[in-house]
Amino acid sequence: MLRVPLSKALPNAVKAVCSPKRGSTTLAKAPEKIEVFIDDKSVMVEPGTTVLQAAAMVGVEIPRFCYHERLAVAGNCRMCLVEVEKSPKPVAACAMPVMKGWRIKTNSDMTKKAREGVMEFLLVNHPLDCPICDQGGECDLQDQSMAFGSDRSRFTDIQFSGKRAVEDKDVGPLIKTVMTRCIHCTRCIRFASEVAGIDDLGTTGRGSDMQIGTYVEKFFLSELSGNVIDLCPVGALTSKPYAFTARPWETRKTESVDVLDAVGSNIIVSTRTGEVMRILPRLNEEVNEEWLSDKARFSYDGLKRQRLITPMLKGPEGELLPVEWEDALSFASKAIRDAGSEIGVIAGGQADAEALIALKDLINKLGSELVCTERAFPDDGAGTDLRSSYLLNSKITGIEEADVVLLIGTNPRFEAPLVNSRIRKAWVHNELEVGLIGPCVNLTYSFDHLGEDPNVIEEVLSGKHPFAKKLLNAKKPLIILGSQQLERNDGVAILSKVQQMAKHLSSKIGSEWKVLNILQQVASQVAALDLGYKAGVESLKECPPKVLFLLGADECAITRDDLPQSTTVIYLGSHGDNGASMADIVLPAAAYTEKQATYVNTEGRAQQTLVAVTPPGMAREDWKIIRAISEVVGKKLPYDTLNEIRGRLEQVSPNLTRYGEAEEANFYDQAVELSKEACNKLDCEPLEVKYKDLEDYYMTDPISRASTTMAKCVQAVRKQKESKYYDSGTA
Amino acid sequence: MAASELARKGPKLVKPILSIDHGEARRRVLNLYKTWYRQIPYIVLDFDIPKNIEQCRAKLREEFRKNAHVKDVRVIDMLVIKGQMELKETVHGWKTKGHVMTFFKDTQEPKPEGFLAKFISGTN
Amino acid sequence: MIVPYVSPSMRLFVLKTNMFRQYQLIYKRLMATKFPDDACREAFIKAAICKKEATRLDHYEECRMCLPVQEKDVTVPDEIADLTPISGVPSEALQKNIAIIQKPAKNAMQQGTANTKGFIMKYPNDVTWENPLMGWISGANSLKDVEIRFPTKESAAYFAKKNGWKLFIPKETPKKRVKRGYGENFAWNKRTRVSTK
Repeated sequence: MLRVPLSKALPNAVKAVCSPKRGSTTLAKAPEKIEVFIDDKSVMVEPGTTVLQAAAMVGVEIPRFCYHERLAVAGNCRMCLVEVEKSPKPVAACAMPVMKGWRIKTNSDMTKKAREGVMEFLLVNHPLDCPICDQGGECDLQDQSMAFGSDRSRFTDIQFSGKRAVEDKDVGPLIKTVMTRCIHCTRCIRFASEVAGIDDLGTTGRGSDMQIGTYVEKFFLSELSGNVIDLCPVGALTSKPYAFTARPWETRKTESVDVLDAVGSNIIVSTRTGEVMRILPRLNEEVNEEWLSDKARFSYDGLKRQRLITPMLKGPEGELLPVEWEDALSFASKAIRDAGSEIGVIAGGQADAEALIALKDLINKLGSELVCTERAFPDDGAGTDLRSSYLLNSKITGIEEADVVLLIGTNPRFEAPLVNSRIRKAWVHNELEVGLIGPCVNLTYSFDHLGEDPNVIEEVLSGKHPFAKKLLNAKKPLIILGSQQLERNDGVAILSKVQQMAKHLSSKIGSEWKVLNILQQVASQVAALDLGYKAGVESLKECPPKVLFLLGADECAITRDDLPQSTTVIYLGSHGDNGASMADIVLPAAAYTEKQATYVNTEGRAQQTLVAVTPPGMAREDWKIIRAISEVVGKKLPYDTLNEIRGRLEQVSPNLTRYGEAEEANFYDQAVELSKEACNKLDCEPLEVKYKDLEDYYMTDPISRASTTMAKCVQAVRKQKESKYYDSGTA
Repeated sequence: MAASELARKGPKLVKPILSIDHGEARRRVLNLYKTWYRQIPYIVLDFDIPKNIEQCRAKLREEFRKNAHVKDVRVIDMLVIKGQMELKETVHGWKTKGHVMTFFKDTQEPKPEGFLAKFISGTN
Repeated sequence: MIVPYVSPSMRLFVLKTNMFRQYQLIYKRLMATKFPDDACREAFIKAAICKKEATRLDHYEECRMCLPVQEKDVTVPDEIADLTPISGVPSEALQKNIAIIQKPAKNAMQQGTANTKGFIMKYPNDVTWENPLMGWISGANSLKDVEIRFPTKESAAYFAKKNGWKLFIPKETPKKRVKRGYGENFAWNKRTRVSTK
């Protein structure tokens, strides 16, 4: 593809064009607005606005199939045809830029006739599947044929040749295809190539032989593949796990938040008969736009498997025996009372802020300070005292404005797929330049690989590295550091170097622009650090407590071998995973779809989940279990209701209850000064990331590990690798 | 309308439901109370409920006392209208014995009190 | 008609009120009702006849209570009226539930936005339980099926406050308009150039 930089192509062009400022809005002169009339309503728009967008500005929605705001304009379905006064033919509103003084008629006879014609053409080859189609009830084709289609059919099929039929394709374990239903809007193709960055889908053939497919027999595997289900305006691409399970009008929708990664994507949980039927994305421009990663979308079947549904105590043979809550509470509190102040906590990756604060309050009341998170973070320097050192400070939307991004020791594609899709969006639309220090992985966009050696960070900092120049020349540079690198022995040195680099860059820019970004991997980390949890389990390993509380900690940060035989392990969580298997007392808790709980994402944005279904069996909400234990122990916590515990959260850290807002961090300079004092020696061990391959992405936490769908995905990736069409370079 | 009403403070004029001032509302309440009071013997008799007149009158007092804090004339009027409807339904025998007994909530199981009890029963 | 024996006081009552039919009814009930003791029986009769207006309300007229409504306005304090005494919502429900007011989320499956206009007030889900035989789901909170539509956030909040609901209004996340042009597909120097068809 021809991609000559503009500066080379136009040597004599004005400087404004060559400068890294991109987009027409930043040009020296703001373009004059032009007036157009939509159904005789006047609207002032920028030149270059399409008819469809101009109409949307005055609240007129023009029907469309192929057009989608977040994808390139295709203009092939012709549903958006509208009449423009004095134009002999109707125009495709999605692709046609408005001209001055145009009078657009979105409801004229010509427009109506055009729509009716397009609908008729589409329906000639569309099967009458609606009663058995999963899209039924939320189908754009259904709705638009009701609204704009003809009320009678001219389809007679005198040859009895039947409608056009297309063979279904097997594109993997997530997406069910019924290709006969396809209307060739090409949204899925555009999504795959633009947003997901995988050029796997495409069209073959022409006319009525046209087909959407993968060209060769292979799966459409991407961490964002599920979004094509939403994009498909008909039932050609539907969800395989959801197939034939529910109808949209019988499900109850609950607005919630995903906690399987640290992005905190906004979701809608559809439930019926006390079961989660599916999870769909919910629009939030600041977090996930309208996309959702596959793990968040499809791992809901893990919410029904491997669940802890009753309290359990370890029996004489070492097996866990189900007991009543009364027994479990009294055993747990006896162990806690006996332990006195020798009690510790490890909080796992999906612990909510309410449970975290309740448990911390309880432990502190008992006279212990051993509250830790599973994921480590350097303690030297400023440690976790300053929020700026553990947040994605520029926010996810900041990525869209950036012009140079340096990724250090992270693979955002699998650690935070929606952060990666933002980087890719900026890469496509803003000509973003990306550098990567760490293992050379496929990020779905091109980048400069600076190496795996941590000493490259030093080189970039000192300006020796060629990439340093790009950073220094950038108007809005970003550094994104993977939180995994901070768990290394030289974590503090890496953080310190990165902080210094960020300080250097931001002092050069001198604006409010935040350069330093830490990308967390788990949903609970930011809230835990905000509440004063100690990152990492080192202190617990040093002096093992008599009672160890695992708050959904399943990553084996501490194994049974690290603990003396006498230690009682109490596991509080939703799934029977690694943590529960080493526990003496198991207390069943609620998963994220079953509680109203606060989570803080990697930007520091507090969001809450809502109750979609009731916890199964005897499982209870996490903080209530802790509150109940506290009462039995005799150290009653002073909150009985959700409101009261949220009041407590607010006391400790007010940002935790400002839902939807990402609280700004501060004290960047102080953090740099403090970390400078700490040990500054980088190891030579190369930077490593946990998730390198799509295979590693699917099963990362108790819920996704329990999910059969996710297991099938892993299987599919492995199968794909054996395929002769597999290309490791593009997968 | 709502936004402005949220912000404003001070008295305002509205269309009355029945009464134009507190005195009148009070008269209506007393009137209703007296009528109920006098009908209670018949109610006890007609519905053959396992309560005596004194118990019923105590309940009557309780039901009226429950709303003693209400100051808004319109709300008082609404309550009077509702009380009247109840009375009418009772006197005309549109209610059955069970309906009358629901005033007493005898058969309602007491909900668990306290955090722990609620926790164990799973109702909090 | 055979008049059974009645006490003198009862007879007096009959004479006074001249309501023979009613007397008969009362009498029948008196005979049928088991009083725990005579004192109770006497108390009833007394209560029934000694009050001046202790007449059975046969054709109870509502207007007895309704003095003529005057064409005059009434002064009330200008704050959001508290309708909790007359709304019929149990006080436990008011304490437990927090109403959520938000724009209805767009269905990710569809492009139309008609259903995302206005605001809805709804309540969070509550505990449900499963029927062990059929697996049917029951709950004790009828509010979870309540969804009320309002044209604006303010009118919804006004309604909720008036009815004594605690409120949660999530931050709105409006859609951003992005300018897109057909020409970008064919840009010769931009990454927006379409690679696949």
